[in-house]
This record gives sequence, structure tokens and C-alpha cells, in this order.
Amino acid sequence: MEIKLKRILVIDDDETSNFINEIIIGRAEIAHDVKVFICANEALEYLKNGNDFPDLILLDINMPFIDGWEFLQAYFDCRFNQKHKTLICMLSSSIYESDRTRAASYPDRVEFISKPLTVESLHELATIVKERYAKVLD
Amino acid sequence: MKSSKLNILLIEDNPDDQELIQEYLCDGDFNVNILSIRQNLQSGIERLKKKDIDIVLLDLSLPDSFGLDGFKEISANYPEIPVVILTGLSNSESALEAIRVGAQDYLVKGDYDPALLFKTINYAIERNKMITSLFKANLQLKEARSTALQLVNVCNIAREEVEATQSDLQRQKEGLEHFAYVSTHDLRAPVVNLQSLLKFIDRKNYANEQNAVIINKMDITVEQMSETLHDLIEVVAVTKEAEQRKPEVLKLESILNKVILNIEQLVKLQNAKIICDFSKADQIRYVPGHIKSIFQNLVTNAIKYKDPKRDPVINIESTKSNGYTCIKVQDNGCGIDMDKHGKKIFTMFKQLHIDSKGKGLGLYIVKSQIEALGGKIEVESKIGKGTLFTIHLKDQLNGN
Repeated sequence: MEIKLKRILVIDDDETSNFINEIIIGRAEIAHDVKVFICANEALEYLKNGNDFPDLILLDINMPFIDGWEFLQAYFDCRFNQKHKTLICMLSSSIYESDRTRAASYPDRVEFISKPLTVESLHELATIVKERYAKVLD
Repeated sequence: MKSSKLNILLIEDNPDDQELIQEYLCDGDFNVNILSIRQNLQSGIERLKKKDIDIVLLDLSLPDSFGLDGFKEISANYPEIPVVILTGLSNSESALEAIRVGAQDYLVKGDYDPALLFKTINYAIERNKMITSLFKANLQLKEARSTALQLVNVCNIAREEVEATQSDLQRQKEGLEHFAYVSTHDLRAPVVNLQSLLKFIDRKNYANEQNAVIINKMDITVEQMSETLHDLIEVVAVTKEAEQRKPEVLKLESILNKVILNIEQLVKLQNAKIICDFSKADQIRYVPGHIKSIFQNLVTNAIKYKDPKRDPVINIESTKSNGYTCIKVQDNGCGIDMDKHGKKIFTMFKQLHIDSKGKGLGLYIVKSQIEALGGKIEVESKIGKGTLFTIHLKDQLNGN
């Protein structure tokens, strides 16, 4: 990858998944920095506090307290999607078509990947992110 | 115009009138088969027993009956035979009254000719036929109506049964769909992790330190998978058990003691105190296994989600009311934010505490078990104060 993403946020309550995700992201060499949250609430706080915004968010669906869909709702409620070009990708063990359709139903593009996360799928996501930034430059 | 062959009974004691009618009937258009003449009511009624009479001509003043009595007696015994009243001028009131109570027509003596007699007799017979068939039709209608009502009743009962079955099926379907979703997700998640972890293993150099880390993660994953499988099997068992097991009389305290023994290590480790008062309701007729599972899940939860600032204290008490046994399980744990999470507490999957490894099936199982047998479970909670679960268990009858 010629140009790396600045930052990726991973939100998943399963620690083994996070262990795996970090290794895969490292191998894909697409980002300078990876931040992992096991609680969607903490991730939301992080974003609200004006930290450097990530270029890509990998979001698990089934989590305690706030699940992936609720995080997504809160994200749009905060209008983060209007201020940032960040790409959100649902990352779930679900193989249900309804989850994929639900992700596609959002007005702002939301990707969906069924686990396991692979180097190839990360490269595809990085390409989408770069296209977004290219459009902004136009 | 010829009428069909008629059998006529004339009940008349006056020889002149008998003769006149006989004369008229033999004349002209009449086609009389039999003309029976009787002098009094009783012999007339006797003649009717042969059941071959098409019409009765009845005088209102007979030696053994006067006025309407004669007509009433005939119509009570032979309602299907038309009666024409013969009356003198002075008695036309009675004749009208007879028509009101069902006689077909009347003739005033000395005031009719053969044509009128012909018309009266034939009309009376035809009208009577119509009335009889109307009467039959009415009876049939009534029968049809009561059959229809019975059918409507049967339909209503059937519909109610179908509706009940449908909503039961719908609930089962939703439960199954939810179960399928959760089980595929919960079982797929660790399998996917294991596949990824296996790929990370350095197979060229097994001594690579990183391998130990990965194998440790695999151990955790397999353990997680085994727990999930165990929980899912229990969810399936809930419905099966409710259908198959017969209720027994169970002592609440001895069940609780068994549960405490099962989780002895956890209780000791957390220094938990469990206080129970079953004095108001010490036993229940219920499916064995469910009570144990309910106690086990609620007490374990109460200890697992204790307030870090204090040792867990759990109060359990029981009462009885209206065929239900009410069990309250109160803890002093960390509590649940009911505004945020109240709706999710009993949902499969929704695990409300970050640092626990469970998959959040415990309360779902408890709720399913209770509801499968007609009971309900409620929860009240305050952050930092504790949680109170109130369970209403329906006492199970013999043979469930």
C-alpha cells in the first residue's frame, strides 16, 4: 500500500477477535495506528472528545450494553458522518443476509464483512476510503 | 272445473242441513269420493281416526258440543285437516272467532249456494295445503337455523383454537428464528476465531514463542465454545422438559441448598451471604429442574455482578397467592441501568456486564423456563443499590 490510513478503530467485545484483527491489520500494512475498544460506549466517548478521527471503523454487531447497530445510530445522531469521511464496516460472525441488508440500508455507506477479517478485505476497504478522500479533493 | 276426488266429513245434527249439503255436493262440479255424515262431535272425531278425510264441515251447535269447543278439539287432534265452520246467522261471531284460531272458513246456513260451497271447500283445502307447507317450511327453517347456530358455535370454537395455535406457533417460530440466529452466530464466532488462530501458528518453527500465545487464545476460544454449546443445549431442553416432565412437590429450601453446594467455590471466593425465608411458602408443585435452574442462574448472577465495594448479600423469600408461588431474589450488587437496558435484560445475547465471559443466555433461559409453564418474571434495579427479581410461578397440576 502506497499511502497508509492514519488510524483504524476496532470495536469488538471479544478479546480473541481483537487479537486476531490486530494481527491481520498489521499484516495488511494499511494503517499507521490501530485503536481497539471492547466497549462501544467508550469508543463513542473517544470520538466525542475530539480525538483524531479514524479513517476506518470496524464495528462488531453483537456486543453487550450498546450493540453495533445502536453505536451506528448514535454515530449518525452525532452527525459524525457529515463532518468526517470515515468509512464504517460492520464486522460480524453473522452470516444472516438480513444483517447485510440492514447495513446497506443506511443512507451513508456502511460496509459489511462476515468474519474472519482477511488482508484482502482490508485492502478493499482501504481502497474505498482512498476513493472517498479523492472525491473530496475534486 | 273439476276438483280432485274428495273425502268429506260433515258433522251436523240437523237433518235439513244434512240433506241440503248432500244435495249440493252431489250436484255440479263436485267430485266427492266419500261423504261421511256424523250427528255429533265424538262420532265425528271417531271417524277422523281413519285418516282419510280431506276436509271437515263442522256445525257449531251439536248435541255434545257448542261453539268453538268442537273446533278446538278437532284442530288439537288433527291440525293438518282443514275445517269449515257451519253456522246460523245468530252465531256468526263464533264463526269469526273460529277463523281467528285456525278454521279455514265459514258458511252461514241458508246463505250459500252450490257455487259458494264449492269455492269455500276448494279454497279451504288449497289454503290449508299452503299453510301446511308453510308450516313445514318454517319448521325446516327453524331446524336449519339451529343447525346453523350450532355450526357457527363449532366454527367459533375452532377459530379460537386455531388462533391460539397460530399465536403459539408464531411465538415458537420467532423463538426458533432467534435461536437459529444466536446459535449460528455464537457457534460460528469461536470457529472463525479458531480458523484464524490456526493460520497464525508458525509450523516451520514450533518453538516460536508466539505459538504459545496463540495456543493460549485457542484454549480460551474452545472453552467459550463449549460454554455456548452447553447454554444452547439448555435452551432447547427448556421447552422439551416443560412438555415431558411431570410436576412434583418440591421443597424450595432443599433445592436452594443443592444450588449453593454446586456453586460453593464462587460463594466462598466472593464471600457471599445467602439468606432465605421460605416460611410463607416452603414447597411448590412444579417441574423438577426448573426451580434449580432458576435459583442457579439468579444466585450466580447476583454474585458475579456484585458491587466491587461490598460483599454480596442475597435475600430470597417466597409467598403464595392465587395458585402462584412468588419468589423474590434481592441482591446488593452493582445494579442495572433500567432506563438504558431494561428492555434487553431477558433477551438472548444481551449481556449487560463487560467483564464477564458468559454469552448472556442465563436470564433468557430463566425467562423461557418460567413462561413455558405459565409464569412471569419481573426485575427492578438501581445502579449501585442492587437488583430485585420477582418471579411468579404457576403451581402445576397433576399430569401438567
